[in-house]
Amino acid sequence: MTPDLTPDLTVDLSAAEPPFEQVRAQIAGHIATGALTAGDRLPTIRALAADLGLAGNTIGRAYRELEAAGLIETRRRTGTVVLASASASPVALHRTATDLALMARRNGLDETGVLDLVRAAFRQTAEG
Amino acid sequence: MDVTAVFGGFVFIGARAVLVVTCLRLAVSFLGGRASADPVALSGWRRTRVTTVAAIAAGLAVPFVVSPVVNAQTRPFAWPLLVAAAMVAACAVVELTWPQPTGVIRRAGLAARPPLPRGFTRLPVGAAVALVAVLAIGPVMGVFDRAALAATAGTRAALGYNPGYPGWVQAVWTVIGAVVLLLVTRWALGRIERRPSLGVGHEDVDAAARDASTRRVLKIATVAVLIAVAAASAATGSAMHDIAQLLRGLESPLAMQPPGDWRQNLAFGLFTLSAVSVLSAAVATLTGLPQVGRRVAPRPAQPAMTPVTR
Repeated sequence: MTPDLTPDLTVDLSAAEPPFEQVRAQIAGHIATGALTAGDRLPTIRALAADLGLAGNTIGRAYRELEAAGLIETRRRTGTVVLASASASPVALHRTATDLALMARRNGLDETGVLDLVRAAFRQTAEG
Repeated sequence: MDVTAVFGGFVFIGARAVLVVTCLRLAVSFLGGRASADPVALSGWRRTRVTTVAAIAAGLAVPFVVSPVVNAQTRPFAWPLLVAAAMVAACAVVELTWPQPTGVIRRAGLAARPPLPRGFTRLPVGAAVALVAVLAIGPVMGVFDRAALAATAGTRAALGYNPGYPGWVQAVWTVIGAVVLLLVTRWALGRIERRPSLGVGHEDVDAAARDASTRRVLKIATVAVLIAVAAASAATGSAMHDIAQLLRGLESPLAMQPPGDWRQNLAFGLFTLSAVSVLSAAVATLTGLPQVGRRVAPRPAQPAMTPVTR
């Protein structure tokens, strides 16, 4: 992970989504898109909490959920790192997701609406 | 001759010399160039200088605050450690003045903080171990030397002999000073790590400022421990050299001739350790800190990810 390509986080304190979920979802998103790859070190809980002006428990909860999902691991010597098993989505899938997001914006559909559509599609394919 | 008092003066002069050199380095850095026009870089440039000035002011203030209890004459080895603890504490306090994140939208990079520079962490730890080892020599050797004198010149002469080694009282005060310095340094390094970053697009300035703060704190602690090692090993070596000469002068059966005199050899080893410590302290003092806020062009901010609003 070079400094020029360092991904960042944006947390909106006025959003309905709790801050820990925003942090968790964005880190998971960076891993899915390949912006964070296996072995990349994440900031410590205290450092990220200080940078965002949030409580350490908020970042700690986001990290714990990412660990439970098998995306990151906290080691004593190296700190928190992205796991090798947390591989990025296939390029084609990433491209399709980007196209879907662009198409949704053009049609005035918000994120929640798109996620509802995707969940419905998952259910349909599982039943079929 | 009271060797401890002589080397107490040596430590006092050494500590002051480090402060003078630091002041000179500060003056050179002020004259060395102009700060960047970028407001964030300029802020970093100013704060690094405020930190240096605060550290020097704290170091100069220590004599007036703690001299009634601990001063260079009575506690020569604890003295530089307590001066350094005050300087490090001042650095940590200035870290608290950096801007905190405000507003509803908060942004932060996902890059991990850089690890501590290895050389600057191993050197003070090694020096602290050497300090404890050297402090333990004095009281142990005092027992051996009295036994040797008693066997040579009688019990009365042995009881009246003052070996000049740093004793248990000096050792305890020095260990207290070292523990205080260790705790303050850990606190300061924690403050530096938890200092909020300067924001996306200013990673270079932020990294340089954090690196400079970390190195400054470790450098002050390292130099102080090395000065204490230099003084303690020189005082112990000098006392050991004196007793070796005395036993030889009394024609004691326990006296040995060079080059097989282990007391004399150990004394020269301690003198060498003292010289190496002074040299290392000088190198650590003269090594430069990273430049903060000069000739740094602000980089365009990366596009922010849309906050999750499911």
